[in-house]
This record gives sequence, structure tokens and C-alpha cells, in this order.
Amino acid sequence: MISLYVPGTSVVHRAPPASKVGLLAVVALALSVAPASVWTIIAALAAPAAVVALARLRPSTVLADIRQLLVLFLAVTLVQLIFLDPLTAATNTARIVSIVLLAQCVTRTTPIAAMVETAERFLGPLRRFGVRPERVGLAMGLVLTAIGQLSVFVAQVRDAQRSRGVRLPPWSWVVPVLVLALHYADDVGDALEARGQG
Amino acid sequence: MDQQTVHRAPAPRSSGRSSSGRSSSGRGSSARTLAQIAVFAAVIAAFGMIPGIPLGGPVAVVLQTLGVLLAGAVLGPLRGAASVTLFLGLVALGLPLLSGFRGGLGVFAGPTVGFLVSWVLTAFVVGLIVHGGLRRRDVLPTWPRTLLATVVAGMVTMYAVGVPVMALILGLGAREAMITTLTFVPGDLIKGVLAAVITMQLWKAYPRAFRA
Repeated sequence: MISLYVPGTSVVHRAPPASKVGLLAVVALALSVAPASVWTIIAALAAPAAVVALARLRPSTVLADIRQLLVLFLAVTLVQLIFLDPLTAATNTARIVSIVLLAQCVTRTTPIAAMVETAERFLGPLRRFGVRPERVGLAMGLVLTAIGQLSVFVAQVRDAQRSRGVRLPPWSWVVPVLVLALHYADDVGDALEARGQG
Repeated sequence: MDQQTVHRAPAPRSSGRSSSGRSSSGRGSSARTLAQIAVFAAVIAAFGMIPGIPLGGPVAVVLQTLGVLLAGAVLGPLRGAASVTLFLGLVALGLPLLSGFRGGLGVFAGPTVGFLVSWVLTAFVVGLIVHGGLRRRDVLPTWPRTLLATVVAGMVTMYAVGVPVMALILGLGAREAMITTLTFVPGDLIKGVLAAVITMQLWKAYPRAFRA
């Protein structure tokens, strides 16, 4: 499974994941209460730039992550310019771009395994409400296996339909694949139960 | 979307098994529940990977929320919501499972975070309506209830959470936020109808999955 993690040995890579997430939360809070001003905009854009440089990430990697958002930002900034003054509109946009980029820096510099471990630790206190962190970890592993299995099902069903030689609409494989997926879920459930993972 | 276009699922792989002799007790095991939750999270991810419905030009309807609607409609409120939560958890941890291969903590800091979070509630509400309650009862999915759930309730829930959060993050007024969202309405209507059609076909083909 592809992950967004970019391997590295920088200070940012080596920092414990929990502290990175914590720092992100603090900065996000600070940015959202900071008043609309040129200084806020500069600080908001300097922060992710500094982290990207420290982590020795390629700027293009991180910018690619907000490519989809850029269209939205453009539309939103235009709408804001109608209703708000330019400084407020620019500060709003800078705040969001900054927080999104910083959050993405955490993701880009932390391996999935370390994130899962951190998440399990965060979920620990929820034990008293019936959440079992180790089962969450198991479920996450199952999802990744199932994604691979689904692509196998799609290929199987499409082959089967093609071999029948009838012209079918392009979405005709969706329901058969879902039925196979639900069957597969029951099989996995049986297998887990047989191994005492109920 | 008529019945003609849909073809039956291939025969189950292991034919020797009777469908009723699966679990020793009538109720499903917690292992089965866990597996269903995980597999449906994978289905939601898969819906994000297939190309959307083209609406002419570069605009396409992304199908990921179709997976969310189906999770609620098939698995019911609790398992459906759990499945969506698990999916979002994996996205937050850094797997690029959102449509367009997006993922990571960044998407939860952006203006559309309200829509993402609303998916949990959406699956819950859709499940509640299709299954007729929190726990399994002898309520069967019917066309009117399924359509009401996936087209009306699903959309209302997503917008009710997503729009105010977007307005708050972007500093927009309620009206401006609504206008920005209007562009999604046609696509969401299509997805709602598709979800109802698929749900009713799954109910016919594999009713077991609907039972806890």
C-alpha cells in the first residue's frame, strides 16, 4: 500500500509523532486567533516554509497535496472579496493554507506504523467506553488487505462479463463486486473467529 | 438504471456451503462485525479510486460518498458509522484513500473537514432509516425508505454539518457558503439514487449482509 510518508533523517522526521501533532494543534489554534494583518499572513506562510526546509522535503511534494484545494481557495477568495475587505480575505486564506501545509508536513515525515502506534496510545483512555485499541489496529490491517482483494474481484468480474460476449454498461460490475466483497467479509469473520479473534 | 442493466453476481466461490449454516448462533459474531466494518471501509476507499461519473468536460461526480451511503444502508447505523470512522482514521494517519489520492492530517485542517466528519453521521442516519432502528428488527429495506435515506437524509446530514463548518473556517456568511455548495447538489442527487438502486439489489442478492 502506498503511503504519503517521505523517508528522511531530519529533525522533523526524528521528532516523536505525538509532539508533532501537539505542536500542530497549538500552531493551528494560534493562527486562528491571530488578528487579520500583514504580519499574520507572513507568519502563516513562513511557518510551513520553515518546516519544509527543516524536513528537507521537496516543496513540490507538499504543494501537490494542496493542488486540489487551490481551486477551492481561488473560488473562496473571490467570494470573500465581495463580502469582506481584502486584508481579511487574504488572512483567512493564508491561515487555512498554512494549517493544511503544516498538517501535511506531519503526515509526510511520519511513517504509517508510527502514526498507528500514536493513535493507539491516544485511543487508550477510550478503553473505559468499550474501545479496544488493539482491535482498531487489527481492523486497519484488514482494510488494507481488503483493498487489494477488491481490485482482484473487479478484475475477476470484468473478465467473467467480457467472456460472455454481451455488451454491458461500464458500471455493470459494481453490484457483483460488492456482493463478492460482502461474502469475503463473512469469510474473514469466520477465519478470525476460528483463530479466537472474536 | 433499470433492472435490465444489472447483471447477477457470479456464483459464490465456495458452493458447498449453505447460507444458513454459517454461524452457530443466529446472531453474527463480533469477528464477523469487525470484518464487515473493515471490508466496507475498503469499499469506501475503492469508490474513491474509480473515476467519477463524467458530467461533460473536466467536471466529474466523485463517487466516494456513494460508498458512505452504502455503508449505512447495508450495515446499519452502528456498523456503518464505525466503518466510516475507520476509513477516516486511516486517511488521517496518512493513507491517500480520499478521492484524488488525497490523505493525511492536512485534509482534516482544510475547509471541507465538516463534510468528511459528517460522513460518520450520514452513515448513521441512513442506516437508521433503512434498517428502521438502532438494533436489528424485522424491518426490511424498502424502496421508499431507502430512497428517503440515501437521497434526502444523506444529503441533508452532509450539508447540515459540512456547510456551517466550511463557513466558519472560511469566514463566510451562511448564504455565501450555501451558494458555494449548490454546485454539489446535482451530483449528490445522482449518487443518492444510485445508492438506493445498489442497496436494493444487494438486499436481493445477499440479504445476510444487512443482518447484524
